[in-house]
Amino acid sequence: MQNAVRKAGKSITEQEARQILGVTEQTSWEEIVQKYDKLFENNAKAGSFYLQSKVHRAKECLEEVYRSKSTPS
Amino acid sequence: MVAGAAVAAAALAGRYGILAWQAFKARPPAARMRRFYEGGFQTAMTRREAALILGVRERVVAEKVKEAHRRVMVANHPDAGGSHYLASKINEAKDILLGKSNNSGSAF
Repeated sequence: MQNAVRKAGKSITEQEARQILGVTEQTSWEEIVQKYDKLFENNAKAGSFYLQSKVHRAKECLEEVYRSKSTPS
Repeated sequence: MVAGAAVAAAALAGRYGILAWQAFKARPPAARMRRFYEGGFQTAMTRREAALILGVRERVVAEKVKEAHRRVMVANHPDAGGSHYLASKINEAKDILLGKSNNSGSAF
């Protein structure tokens, strides 16, 4: 099922999402959420809204990936 | 007599108008949720994206760029849980803004 909301040209890829959060394909979802929380909070305090957005989009993207992995369609 | 009634009506409307305006101004500030930017980073970083990354305006003096760079880098430092990818983006943003900021009004 394609998520039709995202415009193709501006979608974040899984690879970039992992790079943004600094995680590998072996990283567990719990670890990813931890990294996300830290990065999101740090950027909320001292970073830019733009970077916060990217961190958020990265997590969103990986959430889809991990969710589709755990529920085989 | 009609003119009198019209004046009274106008006065009432005016009064309610003022009351409504005061209530509007005094309402508790609602936290406004900004929409997150879509997608990942651009394939080739533009000046606009660089400015967004550092949270500065596009035409900004070098001093501000360095200041913003320091601040944002601290929040995303790899040693403190940040990612190398973001750190490199932040550095790239600084380079772009410093490289082309000749006519941004910096006083030499």
